[in-house]
Amino acid sequence: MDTSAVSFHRHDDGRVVAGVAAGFARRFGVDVAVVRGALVVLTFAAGLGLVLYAVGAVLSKPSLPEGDQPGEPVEMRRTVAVVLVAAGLLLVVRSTGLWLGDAVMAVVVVLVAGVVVLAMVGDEVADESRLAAIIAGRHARARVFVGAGLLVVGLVAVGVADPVSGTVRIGVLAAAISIVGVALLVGPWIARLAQAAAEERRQRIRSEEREAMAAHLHDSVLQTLALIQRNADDPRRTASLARQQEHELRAWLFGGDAPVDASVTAAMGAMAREVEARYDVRVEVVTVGDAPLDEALQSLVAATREACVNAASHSGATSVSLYVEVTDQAVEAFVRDRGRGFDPAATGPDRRGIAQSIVGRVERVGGTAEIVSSPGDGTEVRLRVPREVTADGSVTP
Amino acid sequence: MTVRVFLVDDHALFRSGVKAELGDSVEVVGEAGTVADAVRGVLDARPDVVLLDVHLPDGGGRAVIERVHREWPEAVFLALSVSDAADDVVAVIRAGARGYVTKTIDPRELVDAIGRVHEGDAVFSPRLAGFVLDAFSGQAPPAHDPELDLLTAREQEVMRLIARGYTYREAAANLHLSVKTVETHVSAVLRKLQLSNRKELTTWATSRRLL
Repeated sequence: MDTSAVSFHRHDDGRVVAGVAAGFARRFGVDVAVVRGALVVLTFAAGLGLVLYAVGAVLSKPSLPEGDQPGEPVEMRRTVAVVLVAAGLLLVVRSTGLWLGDAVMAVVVVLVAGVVVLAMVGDEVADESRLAAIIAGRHARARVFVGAGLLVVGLVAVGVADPVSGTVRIGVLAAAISIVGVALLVGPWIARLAQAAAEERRQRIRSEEREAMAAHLHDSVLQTLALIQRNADDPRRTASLARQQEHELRAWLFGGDAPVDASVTAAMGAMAREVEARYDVRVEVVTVGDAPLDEALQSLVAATREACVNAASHSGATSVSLYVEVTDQAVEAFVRDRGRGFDPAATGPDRRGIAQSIVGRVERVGGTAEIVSSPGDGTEVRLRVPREVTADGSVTP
Repeated sequence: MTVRVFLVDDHALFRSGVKAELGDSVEVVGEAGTVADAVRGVLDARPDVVLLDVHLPDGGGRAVIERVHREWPEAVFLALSVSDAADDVVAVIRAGARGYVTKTIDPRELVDAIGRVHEGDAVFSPRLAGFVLDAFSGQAPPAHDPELDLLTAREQEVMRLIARGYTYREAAANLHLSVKTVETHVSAVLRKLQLSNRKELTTWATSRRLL
């Protein structure tokens, strides 16, 4: 790729004469309409524009095949630079004798500027599918207004200004009337085109959404329904599948508790869903308040999970209530089931072991645990971890 | 005499499921799947209790309550929902529902809840109790009516027990109160939930989605 400062390749794709302006514009990141406008204006200044074009044609290299063209993105800064250079050249020519007169040149500059601004819109319109976006864009609309405004000012100046001869006046007005006529002829067609493009875009977005949704439903819901059909004679398994799918679908539809930061409520919710999925039991979670999850609270979550698993596997109940309350003083968790219950005073060694895994866990982080149960009345496990202890993070047993 | 119930839910499948579950314990006098049908049907049938889905196309359960209450202020609504979004639930309660239960409720408990709202009591599921505790926790805004902006210590205790999954009877036993007193506390909390201007109620409800 040729990166030398002055040299550039002519550009066949966008050429009007030899592709010099297009090549220059591409190489230096300027809108081609601005380059052409500057050349036109400078042509009125003692033919300087033609001279520059000729010099450019000599200095530049032949057009490269598409794809190999070195180019820079269009940048406002460079466009301004080109305009300033052109203006400077104009002033230089003005100080020589070869000057048409301020009034004529002002009109020419304004007219060309209008055309250039309009052309900058036109360039982008070339791609039909982007038409709607461009017409809808605020930026583009502003440019259309500015360009049209400049043209009107120029035309009025042509009509009013003294030094313009009658022939020029009629010629310019005729051109203007032709342009308006063409706009009237082609306008509705362009508008339709824009509408069609916008409609097509909407359709595409809609069909993409449909595809995404169909893919998701296929991966999740349809698979689960197939599994449920196969397990139709096993009500517990069916219920468990349905429940799992419900959680997934809910999370997907409502964005539920996607990746929340590690907080007590998020951890408890995730834990409850995991227990539900694994132990065929419904865990109704109610939480009040929230706190970041630290080491002590992780122990609380683990102990709460143990209590839920206990209820699920030993109580015989089909649902477990989990209530978690975070206050400034403490985090408390209550696990309640309406299962068969037991007598805490007369438990076998295995029960005591399980209780240890709940009680021990909480007590190690400075908390308390209490298990309330009586045969026939279900069980409630009450866990409490004070927050003063959890706040400093380091807990000694 | 059995309670006359009207079912409002946009899923016909769910309506027939609830009807089957309720069986003979209540009399289902009508059902509807849209807001307009529900308003017309309820005003025609004049049921004792309307079982109302929180989520309905064009306006939701809230619209049904508001439009029925305009013509028949005595209508009794019990909200029933799969929704876990606090703002939806609180909106329906504030519109005038006498209680809120989740659709996963046990059929016996549902019949119990219908009877309770019919007798003029409020019905709080554990989740609604949790919402209430969350909404009324923290400092009350100054200047406004403290009667409505704070829960009494007793009300808070009752709410906590309900949130823990206790029935009214169990909560009463735990607090050494009569069931009637517990019901009175719950009704008082319902009134506060409906009338409180507490700013947190709305900001909290819209900013949070529990579970």
